[in-house]
Amino acid sequence: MATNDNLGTFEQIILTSLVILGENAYGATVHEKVEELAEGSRSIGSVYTTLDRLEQKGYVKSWFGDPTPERGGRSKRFFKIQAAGELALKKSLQVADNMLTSLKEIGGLA
Amino acid sequence: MALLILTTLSRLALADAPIPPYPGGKPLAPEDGNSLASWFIVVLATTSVAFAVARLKTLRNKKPIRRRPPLNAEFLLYLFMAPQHCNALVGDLEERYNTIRKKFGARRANLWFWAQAIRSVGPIVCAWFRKVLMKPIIAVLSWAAANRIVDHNSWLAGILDIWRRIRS
Repeated sequence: MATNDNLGTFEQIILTSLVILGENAYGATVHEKVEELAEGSRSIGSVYTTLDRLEQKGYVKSWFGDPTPERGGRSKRFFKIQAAGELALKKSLQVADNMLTSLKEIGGLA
Repeated sequence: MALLILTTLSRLALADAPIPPYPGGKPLAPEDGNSLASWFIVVLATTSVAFAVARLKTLRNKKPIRRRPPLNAEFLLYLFMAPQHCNALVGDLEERYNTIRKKFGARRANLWFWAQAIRSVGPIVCAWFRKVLMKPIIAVLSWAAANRIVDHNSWLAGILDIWRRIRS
């Protein structure tokens, strides 16, 4: 588990999506939510590789569900944010919030 | 268009109006013009019927549009991913593919699937490269560096020598 790791913007978006989706977080829903939050098109491959990286860091846990016919008999891969992931996201958002506040104080981002 | 030409020519054939003469030739009599127009009608009608029959045959022989995502695009993803992970990813794509197909049709859904597969290959290949090829490359580079800098035959001997020097 990475302790002093700064999250990238895409990692923040994905972790936020996992928090929002809760129990219903699997590849397709995460991809849709990421596109909604990022306000643009993102490839599902980049979502999966980032989720794999976050899993390696210990921020996310994944497991396979039952196969369903509407997916051609393929199973869903569900994701869940872990305590370490929530902490990293909080820290990361706090840093972003600090930056925004500082910029607003000097009228940097009017 | 063919119908328009046919209508025009049939009107021309039925009317007794003379057809304009050929450039450089002698002027045609009204009955000659009529026979020429009739020939045109026959030729055009035959061509139109032949075209329509050919088109019908093509439509009848046309393969139905597949209701499954493009197999080659799926295969592209299978090349660089573990089968189980790839199945989950392709399943997600297929889920959205079905939604798009119902809404916009199979052609647009196929196009979307291909676009997603091609755009996904980049990050997947990068991750695969980091996972599979980086370790051997780092090992070879460190061996080469150790061999050159410390003048040893193995990178382990080089590292041990550096460690000894640091300790002393």
